Amino acid sequence: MPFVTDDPNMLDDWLVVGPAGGPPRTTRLLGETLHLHTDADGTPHALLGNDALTVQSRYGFLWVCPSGRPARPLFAFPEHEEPGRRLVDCGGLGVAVSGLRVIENFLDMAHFPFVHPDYLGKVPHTEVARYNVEVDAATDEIWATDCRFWQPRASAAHDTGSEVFYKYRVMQPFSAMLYKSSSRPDALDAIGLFLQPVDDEHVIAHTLLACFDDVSTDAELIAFQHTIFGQDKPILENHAFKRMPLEGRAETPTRGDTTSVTYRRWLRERGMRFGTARAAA
Amino acid sequence: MNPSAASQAWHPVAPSAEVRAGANIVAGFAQGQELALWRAADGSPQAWENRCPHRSVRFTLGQVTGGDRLACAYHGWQYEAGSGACVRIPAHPAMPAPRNVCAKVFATADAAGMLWVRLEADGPPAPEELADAVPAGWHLARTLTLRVAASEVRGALAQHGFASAATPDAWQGTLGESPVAALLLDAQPQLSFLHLWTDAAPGSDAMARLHLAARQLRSAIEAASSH
Repeated sequence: MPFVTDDPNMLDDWLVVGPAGGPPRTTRLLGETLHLHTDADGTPHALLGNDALTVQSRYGFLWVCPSGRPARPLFAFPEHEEPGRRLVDCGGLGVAVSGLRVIENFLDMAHFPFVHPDYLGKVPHTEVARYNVEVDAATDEIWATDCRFWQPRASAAHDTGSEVFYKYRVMQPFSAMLYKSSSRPDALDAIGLFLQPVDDEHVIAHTLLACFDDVSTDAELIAFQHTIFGQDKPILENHAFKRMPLEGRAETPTRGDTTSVTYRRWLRERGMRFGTARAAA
Repeated sequence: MNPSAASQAWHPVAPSAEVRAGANIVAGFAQGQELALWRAADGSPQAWENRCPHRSVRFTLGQVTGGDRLACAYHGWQYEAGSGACVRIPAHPAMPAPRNVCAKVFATADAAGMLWVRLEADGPPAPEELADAVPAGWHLARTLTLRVAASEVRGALAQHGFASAATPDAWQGTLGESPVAALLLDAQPQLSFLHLWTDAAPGSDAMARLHLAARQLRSAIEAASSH
């Protein structure tokens, strides 16, 4: 196997390599350069040198299984087909850090007032109230529910502060969704974060909105996501070690970090090595 | 030097005036250790491992708050000057901060216009010779950044007629006809800093000649290293 890792958690899973369709192009995956092109009938192809890789087009993205032996099907994303939702691809943004740190940041509410002031949080509204986290036995996905946080401007559609409800879902080590209060009282917006693993310390973060918003333009929705992501990026790229420690006491969680603690344990239990730091001796 | 002597060494990490009381946080290095340098409101110098114990984000992205605390940029956790102990976790305002969460702190001293750090919290007080590293009344000309090992800088300084004075890495010599005290910092395996102090007056022709000679010295050292 030519790739930069032999971790089956990556090789035997479906990894995003960018949006579906478009002209032929190259991209990076696990230390290698892939050639992507799509037939007129929509059939995608991914080549590594002369070797055809296993690839599928789903949810508007291309997904490659590097080993060709996927351990399970790609996760479900029912909101993608739901009538009335707007699907907006916010593009891929490079981040120089382990993808595990990017997912952990995505699952974290406590940083909102400090990293996203006047958008997703504001001092002194800093408290993280108790919420529930569990691993779904049927799908092996992590769900964090009953999350709520006071936000000054929760989305492009909001212009006043409100208590916002969240649900988080981790489908794969490198993909997660969040669901949050939308402009409709009876429905939640969905935001997917799909990380393309370039190597242990670099990802391309693809963000997809599946939201209810009758007001904002696509450009406004994308600009809002880019603003938020632009605030996270310098923090993410300034971890003293770019890989996530799963063992040892190098990093100390607190009570509100239940989702992160569960995520790290879930990674440890599946023997995750890619993007992780070895425990200090 | 044996390992314990090495860890007892005092490193000139930054000019004292660059780190202002209760204000900024300066990134520092010593022997590969990344540091966050700052001062409490009373001026007491702090040198911490540049890493928040919560998620390992660099402290230098944070801010000094309330005079004597450093707040991490990521989640606003606050750590107090002196001990480095975490004293506030904003996500849980009513919860006392756990006792085991603590920034790693190193010993500091202000002497001869420089902030010095020892990569160990405990040990004897800073030696009085540090104060003699720069004669009283001299000015900081500049800090040279050199992309070579400190050992190569030492060799080059000796070749250029510098002599090591009381403390191991405080050198005396001449640059552009002005007397110079050169304080060498072993920052990283291939990164050194040379803090150049002189009696030449700021803005004078002598200072201008010193700056030119300093740039030539750097070029000579880096060129010699690349061969």
